[in-house]
Amino acid sequence: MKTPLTAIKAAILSSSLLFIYVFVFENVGEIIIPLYFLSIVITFLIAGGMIFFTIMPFSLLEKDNTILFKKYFPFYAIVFFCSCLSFAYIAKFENIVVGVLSIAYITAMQSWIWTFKPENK
Amino acid sequence: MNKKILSFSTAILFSLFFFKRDIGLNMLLFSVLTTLILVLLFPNKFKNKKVLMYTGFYLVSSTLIFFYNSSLTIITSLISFFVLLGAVIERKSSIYVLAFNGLYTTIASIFATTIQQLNKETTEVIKRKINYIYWFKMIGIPLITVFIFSILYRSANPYFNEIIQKIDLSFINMQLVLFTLMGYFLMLNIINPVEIEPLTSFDLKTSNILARNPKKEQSTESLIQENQLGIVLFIVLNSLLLFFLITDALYISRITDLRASDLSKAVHEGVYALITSIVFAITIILYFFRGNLNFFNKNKNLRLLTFIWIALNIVLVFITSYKNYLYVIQYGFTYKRIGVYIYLSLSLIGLITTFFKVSNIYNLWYLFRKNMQMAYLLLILLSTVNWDKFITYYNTDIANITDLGYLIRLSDNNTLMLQEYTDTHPNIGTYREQREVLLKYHVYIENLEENSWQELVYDNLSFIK
Repeated sequence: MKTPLTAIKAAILSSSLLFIYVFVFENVGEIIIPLYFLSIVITFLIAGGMIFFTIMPFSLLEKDNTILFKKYFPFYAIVFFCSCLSFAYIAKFENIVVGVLSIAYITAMQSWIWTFKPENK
Repeated sequence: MNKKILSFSTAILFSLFFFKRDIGLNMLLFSVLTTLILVLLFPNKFKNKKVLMYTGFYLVSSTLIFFYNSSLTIITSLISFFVLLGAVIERKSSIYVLAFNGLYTTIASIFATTIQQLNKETTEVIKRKINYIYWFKMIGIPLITVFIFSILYRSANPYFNEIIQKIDLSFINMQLVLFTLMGYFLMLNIINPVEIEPLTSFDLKTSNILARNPKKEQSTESLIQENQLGIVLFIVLNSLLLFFLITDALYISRITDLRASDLSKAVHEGVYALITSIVFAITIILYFFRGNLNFFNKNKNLRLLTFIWIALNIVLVFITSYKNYLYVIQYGFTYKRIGVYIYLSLSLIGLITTFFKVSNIYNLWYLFRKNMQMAYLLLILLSTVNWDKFITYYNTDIANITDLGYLIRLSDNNTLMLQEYTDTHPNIGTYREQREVLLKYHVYIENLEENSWQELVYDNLSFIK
């Protein structure tokens, strides 16, 4: 099962992006390192849930990862993007909301690659 | 041409156009830039008339943003961009597939190409794997060592500490760097077009013509029964709709006192009736003409009754348009009243395409494709009108009653016209409304003066000296 490993990778990616965002846009002078590690734990849970409930079910529909990616990824990407856009619109494109949604989008897309990339032979 | 260099250079232009800037001239410049890139990368695709037409639509819609910056023109420009990008990928697809392919390329092409590349590598095993440990040793370890030692030396030597503290990297605008990276991601997506493979291939192999399905062959008796049911149903529906239209026409002819509440009720109830009628009409028609009844040689009466029903629904569209016209001539235009006209136009298009579907034995996809195509063309047409200015002109010059408060609440596109109107009509509206117009005018002029070259709009050229 790739979910825990992908969730760890997704958590590290999203936490790092979030910290870069907070550092650059929210004018936080110092990054508190312990907070970064704490955020990895939280994002691990969120990313794990997201991968388990929204990405992994696709593997039940198709066994071949290449076909699965071709068949379902485009629609997942479009639906995820439109959902993020809707949330951003509801939040009146508030900077922090747009930032968090962008990170969620990049993490979800990258998680697809980590989950369904071909195994090394 | 190296795609990464191209992406990077256009990403810099992207941030120059859009970083902390409002929409204006920059959208037009960006559309010219993206079109040039696409022409440069895919010159053969632009030899096709269809692709050239979509390019024209995209450039026109972006130019319109410069003339009057409205949400409608921005949305039209974005959709036109997706359609153009989709046409570059696979021009033979239907309009909605073009738009989906364009959107998919813009938002996720880089992820799709990454997985394609990974698949290629595992099957062909060509590319050498990146030695991450080697690069960590070569870059990571020296960096960490320098960092640790500089901390040590800073505490040991106050002069060294002072010099280190003087290093100022604040000139690097990290927000700009991130924004440029976003532009780089966007441009990398655009120059690596990908298609939604299942959707595109399904669309390309699905014809508009309804084929006779031998597997679902119905018995002649069953077809006769279905035909009879259709005839009875359409006779009843036609009679009912005809009766409704006659009473509706009588109601309109007796309206002498044009009270807003009566007209509003007439228009809204007319639109509700229209929505229900057209949805039912198309659903029932699609049900009866879904399969082999299309090829039944005794279906002439049913087809005739269907055409009559479509015609009666078209009459209903015109009657509702007339009610809306009465409403508008008296109380002027509002976005809702314009919306009614748009809805009526779409209904008319839907009914006409349904007529062609039945008369030429087309399938459901024909209906979907043609209606989407017409909706896109209507969107392009609608975006060529400066609606705020149009509403202001109509309501102040033609309509019998002018609601100045409504005109003030519209976007800045009508500001100059509204100011001119209140200058020439000092007694119009209340004192407060006159002040609001003046305030709107001053704020707008201030905004125009503050516009950077990226944010320029037509009013800047025509007004600011």
